[in-house]
Amino acid sequence: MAGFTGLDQIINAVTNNPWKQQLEFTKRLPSTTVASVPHTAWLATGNPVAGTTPTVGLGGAVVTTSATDGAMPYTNPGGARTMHLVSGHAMSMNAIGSLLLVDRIAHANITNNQGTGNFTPNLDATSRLGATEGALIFMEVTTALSAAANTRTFTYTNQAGTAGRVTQNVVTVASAVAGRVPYANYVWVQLQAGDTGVRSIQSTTLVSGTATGNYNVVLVRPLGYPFECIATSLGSDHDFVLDLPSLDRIYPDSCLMWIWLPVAAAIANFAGMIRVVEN
Amino acid sequence: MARFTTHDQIIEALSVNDRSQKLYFTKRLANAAAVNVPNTFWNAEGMPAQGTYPAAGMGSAVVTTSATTGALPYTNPGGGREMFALGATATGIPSVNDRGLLLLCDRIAHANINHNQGTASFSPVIDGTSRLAAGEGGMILMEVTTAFSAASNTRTFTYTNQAGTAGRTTGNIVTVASSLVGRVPYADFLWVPLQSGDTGCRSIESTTLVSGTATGAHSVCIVNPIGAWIIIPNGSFMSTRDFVLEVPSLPLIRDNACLFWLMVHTVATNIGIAGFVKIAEN
Repeated sequence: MAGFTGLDQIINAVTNNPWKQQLEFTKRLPSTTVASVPHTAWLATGNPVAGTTPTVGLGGAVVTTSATDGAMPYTNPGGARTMHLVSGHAMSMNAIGSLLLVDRIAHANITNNQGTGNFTPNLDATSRLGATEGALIFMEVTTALSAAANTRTFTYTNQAGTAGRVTQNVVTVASAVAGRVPYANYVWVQLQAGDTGVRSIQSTTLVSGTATGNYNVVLVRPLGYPFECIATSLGSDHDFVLDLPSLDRIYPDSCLMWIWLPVAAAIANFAGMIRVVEN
Repeated sequence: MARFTTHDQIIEALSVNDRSQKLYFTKRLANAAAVNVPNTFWNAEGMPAQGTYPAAGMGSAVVTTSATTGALPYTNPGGGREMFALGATATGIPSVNDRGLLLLCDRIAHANINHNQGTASFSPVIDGTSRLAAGEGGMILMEVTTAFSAASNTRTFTYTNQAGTAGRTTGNIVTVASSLVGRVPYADFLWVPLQSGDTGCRSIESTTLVSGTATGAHSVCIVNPIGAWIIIPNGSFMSTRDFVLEVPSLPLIRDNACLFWLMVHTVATNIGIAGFVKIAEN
């Protein structure tokens, strides 16, 4: 039976087998952040190495994996075992904020003024989602936006497999810098009422605007709980078994990366470790 | 047996049986929040989508569910199992000043009435019994839905208490002049004060306008608070709460619960919030 039937099985998996991996990371963002706005660490240098941006356009969507540059590498579980996130710690030596681990399942890169059109292929997250589970839509500016705002929506298939669902308007922030989300006030793109997640994105509609720039459209699956970096060199650790039980499953080939929510502007660095265990 | 009898069962539900859900939210108030006053995120835009209020009147009471626009959507447990909240995380966004206390609630039923609504009975009554256990009562929450004019009114509600005793009456609710949409219309309290000896309210039958002619509108809700406060000391810090060991409560999420957020703010901003609630069934 895959998974853990109790704490004893976790202890056994860690000590006797051992089916534990510690994934260390140490990263530095490429540019100064904007306070209180989510930023991607996909393009941050360090360990793992900086990620790359897919080919620009509606034809550039790809599924990202643990073998993709930018992902935290690890070994998939063997046999019929499943892998779960059991703990981790994180800190920054020059900034304060919060770090959130996600599985970056698929991404595409489009221009800010990309016209209405279909993604071919779709942004498809289904390879690393449970049945009726949905991912969230996260966006990352890859080329600074010009000094005006555009509005667009995305048409997607929701967590239940219902196609033709439409996000709420995504209004971009004029002059948004690279690395940040291109919208204001939210962490994720807002879905249609009643939806909890996205299995795939089929198309986009440019509602208005001619501002330029580029951004990634990313389907992510958040993992665990965020790590609070409450002061420089004073981070936090979390136990996802007893303290904040979640034991989120790490699907084979997951593309693990970080999202940084800074309290203040800085070229932030951060480091830490996550521990995954299989059974 | 439904429910969890051991921590091992929680581990098994999370890993072997894959019986958990994360309920994500990212919301923002349309108006600047009132400071040191509870404000509702029911009608805040974002994800989940903005909730709505019924048209004002004594016939407006409805039971709200997880399918009502504004609620955090989720899938009810299957196979005779029951659902519990294991923890939650949240932050204020997009300013470091977006801080305060967040409380998750099951919004069981609500009505919307005019601020100067005269003495009358609710028909139907505001009925919280569908998601309250025997002997349990909800809290009465009010939310300004149309800004108040520059005067205050005083009213009471007559309700049935946690034990099923009808004819109980709240303390006087003195509204705050010029209250803005989203805040509670009273001062100094989180919930409407109940009659002496009562711990909760199962249904609200009528209201009495004691005095005043100020205009506007407000909701009247029966809510069931869930878990514990999530303390957000600074915006952009993701605060976490564990409801299993840290603040042991394992609050039951009843089928169709209409989950939404209430927040007491420390700074007047158009505050946003983001985070998730982790729930699991057994």
